[in-house]
Amino acid sequence: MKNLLVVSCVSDDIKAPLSMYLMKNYLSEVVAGVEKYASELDADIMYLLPEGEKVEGLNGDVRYTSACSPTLTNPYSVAQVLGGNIPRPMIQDEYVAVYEDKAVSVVTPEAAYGIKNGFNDKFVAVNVGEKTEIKKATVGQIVGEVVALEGTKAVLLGGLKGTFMAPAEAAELKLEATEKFSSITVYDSSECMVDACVQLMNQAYNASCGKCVLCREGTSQFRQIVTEMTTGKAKSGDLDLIKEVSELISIGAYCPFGQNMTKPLTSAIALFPDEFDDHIKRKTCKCGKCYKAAELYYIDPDECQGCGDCIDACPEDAIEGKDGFIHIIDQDLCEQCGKCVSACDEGCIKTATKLPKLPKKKTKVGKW
Amino acid sequence: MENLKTQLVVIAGGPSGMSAAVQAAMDGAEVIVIEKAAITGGAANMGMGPLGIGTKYQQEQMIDVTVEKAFNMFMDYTHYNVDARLVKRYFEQSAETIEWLEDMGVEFEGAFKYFPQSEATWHIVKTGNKIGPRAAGHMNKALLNKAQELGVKVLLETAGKKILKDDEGKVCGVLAVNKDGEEFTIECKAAVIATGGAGCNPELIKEEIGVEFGKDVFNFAIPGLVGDGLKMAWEAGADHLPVRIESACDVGGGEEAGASVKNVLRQPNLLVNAFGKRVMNEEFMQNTTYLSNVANHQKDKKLFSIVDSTIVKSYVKNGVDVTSLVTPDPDVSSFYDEMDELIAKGSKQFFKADTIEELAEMIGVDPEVLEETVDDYNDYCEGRDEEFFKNYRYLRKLKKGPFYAGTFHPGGYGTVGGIRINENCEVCDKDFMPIPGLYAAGADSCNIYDDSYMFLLPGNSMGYAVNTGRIAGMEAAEYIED
Amino acid sequence: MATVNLIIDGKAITCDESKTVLEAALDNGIYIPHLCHHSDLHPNGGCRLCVVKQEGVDGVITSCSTKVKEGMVISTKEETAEKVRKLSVELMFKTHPSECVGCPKYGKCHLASISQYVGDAGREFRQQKLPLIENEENPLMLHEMYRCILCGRCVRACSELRGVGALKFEKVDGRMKVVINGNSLEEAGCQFCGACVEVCPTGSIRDKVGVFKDDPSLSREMTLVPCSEGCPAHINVPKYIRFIKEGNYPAAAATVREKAPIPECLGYICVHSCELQCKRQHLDGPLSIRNLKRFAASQDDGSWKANAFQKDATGKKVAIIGAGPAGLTAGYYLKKLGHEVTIFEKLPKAGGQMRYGIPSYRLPREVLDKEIAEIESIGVEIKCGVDVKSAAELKAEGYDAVFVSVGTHAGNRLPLEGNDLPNVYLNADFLRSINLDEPLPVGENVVVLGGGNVAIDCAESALRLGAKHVVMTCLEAPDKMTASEEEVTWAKEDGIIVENSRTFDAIESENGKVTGLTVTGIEGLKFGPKGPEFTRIPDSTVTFPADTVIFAVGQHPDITEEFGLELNRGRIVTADGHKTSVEGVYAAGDAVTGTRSVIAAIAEARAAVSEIDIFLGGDGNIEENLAPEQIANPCIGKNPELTKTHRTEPTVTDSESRKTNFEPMDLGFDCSKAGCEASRCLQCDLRVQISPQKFWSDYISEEGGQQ
Repeated sequence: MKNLLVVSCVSDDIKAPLSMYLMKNYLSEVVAGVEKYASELDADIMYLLPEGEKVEGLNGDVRYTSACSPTLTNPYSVAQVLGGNIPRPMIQDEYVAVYEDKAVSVVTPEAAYGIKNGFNDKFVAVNVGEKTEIKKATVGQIVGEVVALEGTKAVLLGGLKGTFMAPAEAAELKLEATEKFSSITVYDSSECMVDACVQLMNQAYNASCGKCVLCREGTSQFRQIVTEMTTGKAKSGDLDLIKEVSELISIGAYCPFGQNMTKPLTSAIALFPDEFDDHIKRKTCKCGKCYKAAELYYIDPDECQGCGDCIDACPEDAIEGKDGFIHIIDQDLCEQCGKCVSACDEGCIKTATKLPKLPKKKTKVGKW
Repeated sequence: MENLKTQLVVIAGGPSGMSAAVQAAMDGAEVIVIEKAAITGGAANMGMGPLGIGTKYQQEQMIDVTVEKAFNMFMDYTHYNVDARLVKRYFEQSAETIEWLEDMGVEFEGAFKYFPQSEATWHIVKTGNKIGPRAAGHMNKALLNKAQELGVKVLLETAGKKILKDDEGKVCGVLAVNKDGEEFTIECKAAVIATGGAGCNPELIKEEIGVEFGKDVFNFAIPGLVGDGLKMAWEAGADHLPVRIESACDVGGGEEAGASVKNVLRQPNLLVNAFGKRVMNEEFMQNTTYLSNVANHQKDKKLFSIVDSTIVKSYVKNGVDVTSLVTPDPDVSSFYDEMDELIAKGSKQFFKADTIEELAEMIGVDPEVLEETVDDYNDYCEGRDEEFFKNYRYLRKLKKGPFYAGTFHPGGYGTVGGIRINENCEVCDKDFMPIPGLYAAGADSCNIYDDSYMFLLPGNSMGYAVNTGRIAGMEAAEYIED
Repeated sequence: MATVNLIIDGKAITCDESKTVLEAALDNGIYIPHLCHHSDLHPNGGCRLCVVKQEGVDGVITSCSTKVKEGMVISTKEETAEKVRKLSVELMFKTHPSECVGCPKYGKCHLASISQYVGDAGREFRQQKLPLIENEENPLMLHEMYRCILCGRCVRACSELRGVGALKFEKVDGRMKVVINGNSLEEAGCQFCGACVEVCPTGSIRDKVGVFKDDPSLSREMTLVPCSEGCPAHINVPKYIRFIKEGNYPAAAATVREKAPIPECLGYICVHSCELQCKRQHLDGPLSIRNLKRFAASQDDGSWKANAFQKDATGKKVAIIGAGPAGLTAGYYLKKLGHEVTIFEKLPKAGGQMRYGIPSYRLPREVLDKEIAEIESIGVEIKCGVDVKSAAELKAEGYDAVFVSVGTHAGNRLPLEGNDLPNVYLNADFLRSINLDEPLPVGENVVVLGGGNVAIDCAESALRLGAKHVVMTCLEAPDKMTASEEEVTWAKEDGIIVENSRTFDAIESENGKVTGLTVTGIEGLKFGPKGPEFTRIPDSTVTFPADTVIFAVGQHPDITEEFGLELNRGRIVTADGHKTSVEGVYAAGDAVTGTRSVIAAIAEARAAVSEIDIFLGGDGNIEENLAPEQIANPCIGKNPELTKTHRTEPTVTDSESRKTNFEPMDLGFDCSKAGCEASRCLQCDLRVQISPQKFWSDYISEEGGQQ
């Protein structure tokens, strides 16, 4: 059977768009590497680019796809995408993926570049805030030299399969030739780790190819649990649940992505246990991203005259009371919209994060 | 398919059948079980655990439920309209049965109540670290493993057809059909009928009980329970006792609805009949037997549970008032999407309206009467419920639209009763004489609940199944010896 | 292939090196839970239930996609593997409806069986149920995808097994789903073969209620191939239709011959109950199976004879009374079993109802003669014009066994006033007179009583004998008439008036000559144990003018007590199969069951022949494989034409030219029509090839306590 070598430029980690960078800036080296490898395999060459990307000077069989998945370094996934299906990996002994009756093997631009120039150079994507910058570093160089980590809160080495590390420890880490991590994402102290995990888990959920139960349902459950941590719905046992289950997923999932997609979350929990605890138990977020300062509205029983103006102002009919009685806001119904504050001429509707002692039943004005 | 020969044939491999098979095999009998479905366990695969009275779990949890207390409670409840000897033997044996199951590797979480007013007699099977659904599936697996260990042969996808009797009227065989439709006979000395009632047989239910499927009763019709055992027993001369529905009322009447909608509408708020009048202290709605009886006395056997947006909002925010072990999750946040889905599907059981008057038209109730009932109810919520003395905790006002309603219909897990048995689970004919070699256990033979299921001692139907299964197994093994 | 030795759970196993660890375990009775794996499909590895521990490999391996290797040591019960399994089951149940109640797959569901075996750890995961929406678009299959656990078996079965690929995976607003591959069922190219239903482990894709019979006494194969099950003789219909599609007509004819010795006659007059069961009726219309059979039989080149068995003489002699379809079939097979056969026929020629009941415009006589000659050619002796008075006496004349198939050649005469006037005929006598070329005279106005096929034969024959105005009247309402649909339409085309829902009061007459038939309208017709029950519609009595009246309300055997056999309401009583009251005398066909159909008579005769052969010391086996081996290619591929071609109607001579003579009117199919109609077959038998999946309890019951 004839062979086909596919240069997959769609298998990037979301945090490390290296393929297209290399194709645009080091096209000749990549092409040379690809041709060298192809001749060894005696295979035809095909380039697989993300939809809408253009690379001048690239000729030969170029295909485009809107699919983007972490499994697109697996030949079977690539064959599926070329056939117009959803990319799903097949990890089996001696399983040959076939497309148009050619045996498919896959190479990435980074690997091709390495074949040509040797594996000394190491391209790393550095994400600080919204900005992503791709730097050319050398193997063995320590992370601290590539990006300044002082004063940062945490560093995510590697994207959806990466691990969170303390800045000091990360700075000393040496860059390795292997695919271990090719992106460094810096989080400064203003960012909330739980919110960061919510973004990562959402991206993992969307990237999952859905073939294996542990990764498909695992990402879906983790995504919902972490999101619930930011809305005060999480349960106390969630942290141990995540720890216990991620360990099993990393053993039981079908492909490398599935096995590692829990690492960002578990490493974040390990690094910032109290921050997660705050979110679950005390339902507060120090960075202010997850919970709005939880102001609760109440009528001060000592000042209320029982005039009833506030009742009509409330869109949710959350205020009860009769003339001459102290009015009460029903906390279940109150949407914290604040319209009642202006309606009260006495200015006795106030806010607080913790409610003071308030009357339960109808009590006359002044009897409190 | 060639014919087989054994000592005891057990017809159907549910909890009662498997218990009979294991007990008989323990007592030395050679047993064949024939099960129509492809897996054993019958309806119990969905249950959570049997009843037990005076068990070590109850001692640890300092629950004082003695056989004497439970027996007297039971007899009062059924106003002595049942076979006291069988009930006494069943309750007395129940604690030992829990240990009998434990020896087979079944573990229990402990003894639990089903709802606040019930006794803690429900022994839920342990599955992992939390109380999970379908727990009793584990008990069935343990029963099957033990049966296999004792050499019991289990023929799956094989249905029983007829009990064969010799000229002296003694059981001498069972006619069965295998999965390829070939009939064959199993020669035996004794047979145990345990096919689990006829919950999924609308004709039989109409004929026996006079209620119509889908109209006045909505059944948890478990596919396969069509009363094969009842017909076989009656044909073999068993006395034909009344077949009854083990009533368990539920909202939605067979229409598939989301868990949150059902959970909210099961809460003890305002419950009215087709005339728009309140009918009971809603606090006792969780005892679905009482609820079913109440519904049976209303026009069209219908009840409507009504809530307003403020009640729903507080449930969504803080979880529901009352949870049970079957629906442990208080979170009902998906109520709104599920309700919209039902309305979009044009549901005939769930309704949403902006005003009480509009809701009244939707559910076919006189608007003035309903409005009056709601006003009275809201007054009671201010102080005390003079009408039905409901606990103030569950008095929530119906203040603001949109209003939601769900229809309750009597339903049931299936049918109980039909075959007369004595305290040894021997099948008896018209004049109470046992048919030699014929035994019955489980729902087919369960006449001990009279007209209302005894829900105050939860785990009762599965407890009855396992225990009468054991009794039938013991007695059959003894009968075979001599 | 070389073999490999490995140890699973302490048990030494040698197996072929192409096997996976899971297959090696299952073949040796060791159960490893699996859901996305199916023995006929490529391994998938998605459900993670089959993970096991391999010594020396950290973590767990996927047993369904890992090939066996020499010296492997596998433990299926290892702690981590069990934990991964429990986690996977638990995650699957979070998107699955929590209530098993009301799911028709209860008791047959693999997910429930696995949850029972593996268990559910009850962790506090979140419920992520799908909205409860059914998809009814497919006329044959119901999609309730909220029960789907995304194991992908259906997608793989449709693409790998069938090469159609009508189902695919797709993320619908973020959530993975199995959806139809295209924006309409037709565009997806579904071939309605049912493979996806067969492999689906839960109740997500199911056959719609009513498509298949839900009868536990039917085997799986009979249930899934409704046409073969519908045919009393259980002819392998899909096989011969496939031969016709491939143009191998002789092989198709041979397949029919395996179950019926007169295939071409059946092609003309069979009651085709197979078409009434054909699964395609739920789509656009059943296949025209009878006409296909007729066309194939007409192309028969006798190649089947090479495979036909003929046992050597047994020295036993069997007498057969009545040379109708049952008698001829019995004679044919008894001769093949080596017995000496003599058939005694009262009428001048053999054929029974096929010759003296069914008119020649429906069954050409040369076809009948050809097929009877074929039966005689193997040495079956037929003596015509011999009226056997008593079966018992005949047996005593030195026959080892007697087979009675005298059929129902006497018409039923209703107790109506004037029912014995001249020009009042019985159906059997009237049709026999025509077929004996001495037709009874008919007037201008003929009224036929009855609504079945025989009544239509009488009415059409009366028309062909010159009657100007023919009326058929019967109890049944139009849709309840026992006659086949196409015959009623042809009759109406020929101007015959059908008066439905009438009861007959009296035959009017004037000085001994018939003048009319008085009838009254009825409603609410029910056939109770004591005959038809109905309510008469007040003042709806009317009289149809008539100078000839023909009773066509059923027939009974033309024998009495002296025939020597116990009778019940005129029919021969048989017990324990086809034994009559006299030892060694057997009976089958209409004489036992009352007028049913030619194919039913053949099927009953075959069963009787087995019993007779066993009675005479043989093994009773008359099965034979006349047709060549057929490998039905399961990979049917996408055929957009399938749903576009509708039922082909045979060419029929127009009403004017057919109603004046007895020439054949239904000219059947030609080669192109047959090929096109045959290609409409949904090949339901392909689904039977898919091996049913076992439950964990199957592995135990075989070994008895092995787990």
